[in-house]
Amino acid sequence: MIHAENLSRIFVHHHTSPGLLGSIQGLFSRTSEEFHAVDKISFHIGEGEFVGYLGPNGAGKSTTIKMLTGILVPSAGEVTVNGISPSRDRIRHSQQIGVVFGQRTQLWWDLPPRDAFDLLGKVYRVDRHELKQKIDFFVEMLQLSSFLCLPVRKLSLGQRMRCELTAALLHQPRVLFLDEPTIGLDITAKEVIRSFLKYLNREKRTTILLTTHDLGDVEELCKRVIVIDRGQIIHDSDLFTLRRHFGHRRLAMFDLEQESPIYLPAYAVEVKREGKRLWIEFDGDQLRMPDLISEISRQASISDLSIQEIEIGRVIKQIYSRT
Amino acid sequence: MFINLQAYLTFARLAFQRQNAYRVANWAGLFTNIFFLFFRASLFESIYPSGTTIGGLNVKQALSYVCLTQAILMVIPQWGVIGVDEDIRSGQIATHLSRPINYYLSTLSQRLGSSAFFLLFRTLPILGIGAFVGFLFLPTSIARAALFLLSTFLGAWIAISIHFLAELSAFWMESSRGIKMLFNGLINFFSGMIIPVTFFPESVRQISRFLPFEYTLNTPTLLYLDKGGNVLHALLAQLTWIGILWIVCTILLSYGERKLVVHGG
Amino acid sequence: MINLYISLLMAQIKGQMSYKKSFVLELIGYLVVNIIDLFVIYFIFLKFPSIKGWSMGEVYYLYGVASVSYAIAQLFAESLEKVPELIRTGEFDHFLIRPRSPILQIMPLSFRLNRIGRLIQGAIALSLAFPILQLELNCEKVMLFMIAVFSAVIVYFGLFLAGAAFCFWTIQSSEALNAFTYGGVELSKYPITIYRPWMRRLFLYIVPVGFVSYYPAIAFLEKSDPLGGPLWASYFSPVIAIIFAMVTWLFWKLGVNHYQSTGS
Repeated sequence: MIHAENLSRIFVHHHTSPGLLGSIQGLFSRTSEEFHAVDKISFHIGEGEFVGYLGPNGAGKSTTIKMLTGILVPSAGEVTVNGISPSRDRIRHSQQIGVVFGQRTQLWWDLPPRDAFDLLGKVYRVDRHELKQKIDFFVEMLQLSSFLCLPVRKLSLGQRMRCELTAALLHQPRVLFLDEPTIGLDITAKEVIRSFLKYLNREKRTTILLTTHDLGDVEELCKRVIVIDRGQIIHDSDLFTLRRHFGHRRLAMFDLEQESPIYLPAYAVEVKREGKRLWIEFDGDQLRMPDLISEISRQASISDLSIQEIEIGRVIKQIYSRT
Repeated sequence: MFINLQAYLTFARLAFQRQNAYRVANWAGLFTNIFFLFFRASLFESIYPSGTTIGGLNVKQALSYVCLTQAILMVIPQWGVIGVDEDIRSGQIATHLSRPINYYLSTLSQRLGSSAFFLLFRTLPILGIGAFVGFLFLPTSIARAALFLLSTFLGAWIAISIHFLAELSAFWMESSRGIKMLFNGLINFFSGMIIPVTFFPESVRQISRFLPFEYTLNTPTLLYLDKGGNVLHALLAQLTWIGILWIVCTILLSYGERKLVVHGG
Repeated sequence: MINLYISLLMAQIKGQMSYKKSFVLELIGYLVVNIIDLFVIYFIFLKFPSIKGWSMGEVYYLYGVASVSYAIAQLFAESLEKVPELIRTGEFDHFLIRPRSPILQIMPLSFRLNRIGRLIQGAIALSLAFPILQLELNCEKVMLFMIAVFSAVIVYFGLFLAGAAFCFWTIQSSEALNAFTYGGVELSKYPITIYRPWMRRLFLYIVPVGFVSYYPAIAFLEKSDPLGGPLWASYFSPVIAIIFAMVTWLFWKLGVNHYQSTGS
């Protein structure tokens, strides 16, 4: 569906010396510096995939998204979405994608969402009857009815986000790009959005590319994660492999019969203790689970035990710090 | 009443520096300014029957009038925003009013700081060009030039106060744009920017004498040309209007403040 | 396509009307501002005998045509002045994501109904001109009038477009184009013969605002042309206007291309 090959984007910064003299000098010669925002990245995303696109700030995430959505032309390399080049065939390409920007609205500030939907229906040339069906569907699924007639400027962030999603999906795009859609939302609002996105991906097989800093999003929604840093892809795998690869650190919680100090073997460290409850983080590659259990049970009786996956955020942080 | 002069001078200086950062935009504006100089001057250049004096001005004086008004119309703002509307609508005004600084004076100082920038980077270039192409004759004496500058400063004060007043309407309306449009139209016309005030028919002249607008551009311009009648009277008239407008602005501002407190903006 | 434009427009107007008080005040304010301008011409003719051989009625005609044309162009194209802001906030990107021409999407954004004030003013100027001139309207004259308005609208539209396109390269300098848009209508108020040669040539042949206002007017008013232009010049106006508009449209496309290639 989304195919990128040796995709690059170079920005040229011109430096002019400060002051009036510098400006005049700048008319004749300027020092320029090339900045590789995106440096020969390649990936392929199949139809129906739900991919998280992560990276620290300034890594090249938004530049990539801009190239995928047709806002920026690549400096080098190829990119196609459903076989169509975003920059060469802008009109056809934009008909098949939907985009939601978390930080900016695509709706009209003084108009109620209902009017905005009608307008976008016309922009995307959606058949009137179909449009009405779609709007009814979204109104019900995302519970928009209570504020459908209020101007957008009066909506809360959560309400507005649900409308933005609707707006992006009215024309049934095959690919949905989400740029930090849950930023600033409270947990309930996030839940609504997330469950809707899951539904969309599962039932309608919409390909979704999500950039986010919210690792809860990643954990709940993404089956695959691509990590970019300093313009290059440093990791591309499904979530399970991600954890396996870097998540060799695991977390075990022990409930002991009595409060007693425990001497831990190598590669294990106590991270928290609450009375008789003990949290131990250990390196799954170096220390086998059964060995840890037997070592602890030698020192105290274990009444209960649970193993948790390491938090994905810590995994991602590790990836960042590795490069 | 002790006025914190240093604070206001700082406001002015910062505004000057801020304007200085937009020098490129200023060149663009100067470009447009110059075109309008030629538009307006060309009209009088071609319609004056030779050797005549009309409305008290001969052709050279009329051209100078046009050149001068074009040169100082950014220093003595004929349009534009001074931030009051923005402050009111964003709610920032509450913060400003809670500070131990007179909001009217601080806004005034800021715009005067910008005016200082325009004096250097608009007025001087335009006067230079005007003199070069023969629109402008140079001041008869340094005293006259100084008088012109003083009167320009006073005129700027008046104009800024008028814009302040217009933007205060944002307290009671969703947007001050309508009122501003009205005021801008009145200022543009009665200040002599479109045609010299001396060309108004006497009936209109009678009215404009009792309005503050002609004391913005017209007064300093006529003083430069030595056509402004009694110098002292002219300056006094400007000072009077400064006083009146200051009082009105202060009163309206306090009404607006009260509305804020009662309604919470 | 027109359907979409109208819908976007209606939405805009509806949005504006939600600010009722301002809306009415702006309407009145703008009308007043423009009416004052008409008085300016009157005052000039009180003191001066003529403007390079043009009488008051004739100047009112010229002015009326200029105002009407500019008002019409303004109603459609004024939103293009918002382009620098749209680029700065990143909102311009939204237009590139949708399967429609950005120009079409931008045009309804800042549709200010109060601009009708200038249209009314232009109509008033014309209605002042006709009784003074006591002209007989015939087919040819009506045609000349329509040619004048049509051509001027197109040239002004092109100017707005060029002004917006300019912003793709430099946002700060965008004000420079005002010299041609606002300047253009200012210049068209009076016969082009009053201006110095370099300015005359600039606005006749390069930015043809002067051409499309002057030649149809002298044909309509049956005046002689001291510049010695050919008789068919007035009928050539639409062609010149369209060529000019196409050039500015190309300039716009270049600008969008530049934006997509450099991501400024």
